[in-house]
This record gives sequence, structure tokens and C-alpha cells, in this order.
Amino acid sequence: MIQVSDLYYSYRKDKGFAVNGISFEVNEGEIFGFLGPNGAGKSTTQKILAGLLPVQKGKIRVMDVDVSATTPDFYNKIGVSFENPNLYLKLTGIENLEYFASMYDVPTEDPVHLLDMVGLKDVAKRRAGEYSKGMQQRLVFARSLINKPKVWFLDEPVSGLDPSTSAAIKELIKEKRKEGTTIFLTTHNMHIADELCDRVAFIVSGEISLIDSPRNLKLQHGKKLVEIEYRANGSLKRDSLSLVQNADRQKLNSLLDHEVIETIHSKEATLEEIFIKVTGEELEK
Amino acid sequence: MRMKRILSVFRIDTINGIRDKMVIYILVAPIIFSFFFRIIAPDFQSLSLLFVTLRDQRTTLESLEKFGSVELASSEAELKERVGRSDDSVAIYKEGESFNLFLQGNESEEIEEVAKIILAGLQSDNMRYLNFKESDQGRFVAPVTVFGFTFVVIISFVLGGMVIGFNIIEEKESGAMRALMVTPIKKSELILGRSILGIIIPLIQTFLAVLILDLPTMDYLKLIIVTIFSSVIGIVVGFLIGVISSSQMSGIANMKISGWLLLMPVILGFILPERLQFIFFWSPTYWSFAVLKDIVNHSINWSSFTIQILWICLTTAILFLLMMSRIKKGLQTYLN
Repeated sequence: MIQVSDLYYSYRKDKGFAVNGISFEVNEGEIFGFLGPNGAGKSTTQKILAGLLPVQKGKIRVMDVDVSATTPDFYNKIGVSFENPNLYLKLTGIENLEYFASMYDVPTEDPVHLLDMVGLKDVAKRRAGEYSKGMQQRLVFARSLINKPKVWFLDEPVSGLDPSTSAAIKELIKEKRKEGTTIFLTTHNMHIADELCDRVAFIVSGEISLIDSPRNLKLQHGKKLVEIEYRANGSLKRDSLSLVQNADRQKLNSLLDHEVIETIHSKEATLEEIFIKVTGEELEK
Repeated sequence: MRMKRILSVFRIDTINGIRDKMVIYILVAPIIFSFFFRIIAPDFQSLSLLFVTLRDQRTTLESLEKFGSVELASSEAELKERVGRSDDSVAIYKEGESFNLFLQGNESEEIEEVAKIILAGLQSDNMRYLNFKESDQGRFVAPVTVFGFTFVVIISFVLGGMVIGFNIIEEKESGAMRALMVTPIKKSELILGRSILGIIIPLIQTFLAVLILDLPTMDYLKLIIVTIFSSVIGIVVGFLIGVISSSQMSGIANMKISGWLLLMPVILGFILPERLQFIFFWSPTYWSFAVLKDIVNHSINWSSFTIQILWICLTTAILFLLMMSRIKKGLQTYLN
């Protein structure tokens, strides 16, 4: 669905590349996470993919369309949810959606239904400028779905949202994947990437270090251990047991059978740990 | 090009404008100016000549009463003091066998001319055979009204551009333009949609000015044509201000500068004599002012009108070409 080959981009049009020769592919119907710290080149890549920045060097095809020569029809098929709530603040929530709906040449979603989906139906007639930042973020998210996009670009979709709204948004993203939407998700939040993405790419200083599924990464980089807390003889005990050594496996089975287990955790690596290990960079700079 | 999108941009710009207090002030300003000029403009009757003569000169008094109101002075000194006041009055009095005319020196040419004709009539003693009747022939417009009308119409072009500029600045500040750029809308549709307001605002304000200043015998077709062509000046300047200004505050500063540049030829064009008018030939608003003045005075035919409209187009095109690279650069920054 998305093919990027040898893509470079420099804001100063010199050798200081914000995007430095990256290549990757995104398959139809998958959620592809583009992960990296601030300033890594994630948003620049997304802007080029969505046609907001020109292709300086390299090749990009989205839905088999060369992004350097897009037509209005291309924009009928993509949706972009920006990180910053870029809304018409004097317009109401519903007016914002109706305005954008009028821009498309394809059947669009019902704005009221979209507002309902993101929990803004009750404030549909309030000006966007009166919304909290989280509400504005949800409106931007809803706006990106107005044209029922086939390829959906999401930039930090749950940034600044409370846990329950964040959970609702994540459910919506999963639902869209089930419907066959291809999703390009840009984030520095490894938890959301882990939960949602079929595959992730790590990007640092404009270069991709690794592309794989979160599961494979965790298996490759994690320790095959289980940490267990249990009660024995009235006191709390902790143990760390290997999942591959026979003696530890037998002990684990015995503990499960005879003791009161209070907590048990497998020690696969988190995406964040893998990111630091692979790139040598922290995510939050 | 889709009309639906063009009209949508126009509709949203209108809603945005109505909900912005600053834009409301901008829209109301020309109406207030029109009322101001209406109040200070004299009506035709009040423009009748006021004469002053000496109290003991009965025959002169009777002759002058035919042409306007007459005030009497007891002495030559009092008569001169009366003429020296701020209003326009003309002293005519007899000294020996001849008549004297006394003027302050700052009266209009028309008043001076009429006073001289009356003086000549008195001296040749043929006044009694003349019948005098005041009439505006349905075409009288006081100079202050001409100035007020042209000023209000031209200010409405500038203000129409300001509304466009403010809408662009707001989109820049909120980043909403970036969201619009990932929809199928074309730049041409956006520019056209946004320009409609820059034409409609001046058209409405022009006709309100016609009503308020009571100018019913106007050639409306010429007025509509000149308003539409001249609006392009405001639109170009509005887009320029919108794309180069990073915030509302810098937008206001840029609007003040460009507003004065556009209005200065109108104000000075009215004050300066004909031989110095060439100084403003570069300015499209000067040509708009010239056409509007002639339309109000009913002194323009279709061929001169066409030539002056071409001047508006030419000077606007030059202005646009000069600003084009700045607008393009600003648009690029605006979109990215």
C-alpha cells in the first residue's frame, strides 16, 4: 500500500538531512508504527507521504500513486490526524467537520456519527476554541476519518488524552484495521505501538535502524524468565525462574501447584528497552 | 474546479469573519465614515451665497437679496470683521460711484467667480432686468461628499482585503491550512473562494455609502464595474498581508502600513492641484479615486471610463507582479 525507497529530505536543502535515505513498505490493512524520539524525522516522513512536503530525493508510492505527482483524487483516499489540534477555533465542532466534508468528492461520514464516536456529540455546537486540548485532539482525530480513508496517517493519536479516552481511540483504530484501513502511526509512545502495531520501524536521526513486528522484537531481545511472588509459610517470597532450564521449569510448576501466587510476570523486553538497545537513544529527549 | 468547494471556503470565511470582533469593527467602520461625511456635508440650500453690505446702502441691499441672504454692517471695519469669520461670505458695498468687492481670500473659485459677476452687474446697473433662481439641476454634490464617498469606497477595498488577511493569519496560527492541504481542494479554488469576500464586502459597503450619503442619481453599472475591478487591489494586498504576517499583531502593523499606502493617493489626490496628480499614477487606488470622483460628478463617459478601468487593471497587475515572489514564498511557509 505504501512503498518508500531511498527517501531523503533536507529543510535547508543541504546535506543536513532530516530524513536520511530511508526505505520501507507498508502492507494493505496493517498498522505500521513509525517510532522514534522527537526530531527523529517521523513527522517529516509523514508529511512527505501525505504530500505536505515535496519529494526531494527518493521514490514514494501510496496506493500505487507517485506522491510527487498527486491529484485531488489521491486526497479523497487518505486521512491525516495531526499531532497539534489544528482546527478552525471560531467554528463549532460540527461546523469543522461539515466544512471538511464539503471538500471531498467521495461519500463522507456523517459528522454527528463521528462526533459521537469520539465522545463529542454533546458539545457538537460549541466552538472548537472552547474545547479542552483533549477534546480538540479528538475532533482532529474525527476529522481525519470524514472521507472514510483507505490510508490513514496518525501522528501521536493519544497524546494528551486521559486513559479512558485513549482506550476508546485505540479501540477505534483497531476497528478501522479490521475494516481494512491501512494505518501509518507515528509515535514516540512505545506502549501504544506495542498494543496496536503489526510492525514497527525504529527511526533515529533520520535513519531507520530496524523494522519488525513487536512480538518478534520482544522474543529476540527479551530474557526467557518469569518473575514470581508467592506466599510460603506466611511470608512473601520472590523468585526469578528460567523458562528454558528444566530445574526452573519444574520449580515454577511446583510453585503454581502448591503455593499462593500473588504476582507473576514474564520478562520479555519492552519495546522501549529494545529501542534503547538497538539505537542507543532514549525515546523522551 | 468545484464550485461546491469555492462556496464552502466563502461560507466559512464569512462565518469566521462574523464571529471575530475585530472583523466586525472593520466592517462597521465605512458605515460610520459615511454617516460622518453625511453630517458634515452641507446641503444645497446652505451653500447659497451670504452677502454683507453696509446698513445705509438700501439699493445695494435690495439688489443683493436677489442672490442670497444679506447681513448688514454698520461700518467698513465691522463689514471686514464679518467677512473674516470662518464661513464663506462676500462683502459688496458702494464707495462713491463705484462698488467694492471684499473677500477673505480662501473662498472657492466658484464663489469668487459668482461674486465678480454680481459686482459687474451692479456696476453696469442692469441688475433690475435679471431674474435669478437657485437650482441644483439634480446633479449637485458637495466636494466634501465627493471626497467622503470615494474615501469610503476605497477604504472598503482595503478593509475587504484585511478580512481576507485576518482569515489567513488565523489559519496560520491554528495550523488549519495544513489540514485543508490534505483534502482535494486546489489552491485556485481556495484563492477564489477566499476572494469572494473581498468583492462582496466593498460592493455592500459601496451601496450603503450611496444610501447614507444620498447619491441616488449615480450610474450604478459603472459603479459596480469599478468596485469589482478595484476590489482586486484589496484582495492582492490582503493575501500578501496574510502570508507574510506571523501573528495578528504583525498583521495589524502590516495592514496599517499598506492601508496608508493605498489611501494616501486618494487623500492627496483630492488636495493637490491637477498638475501634480501624475505623482500617483503608479497607484491603482488613485485611478479608482479618479473614476469614482467622475462617476459621482456625472462627468465620465464610457470611453474615458474604459481607459481608467484599464489603468486600474494595469497598476494592479504591476503591484501583483512586484509582490508575487513574496506571496509565493509566504504561501510556501504557510503550507509547510
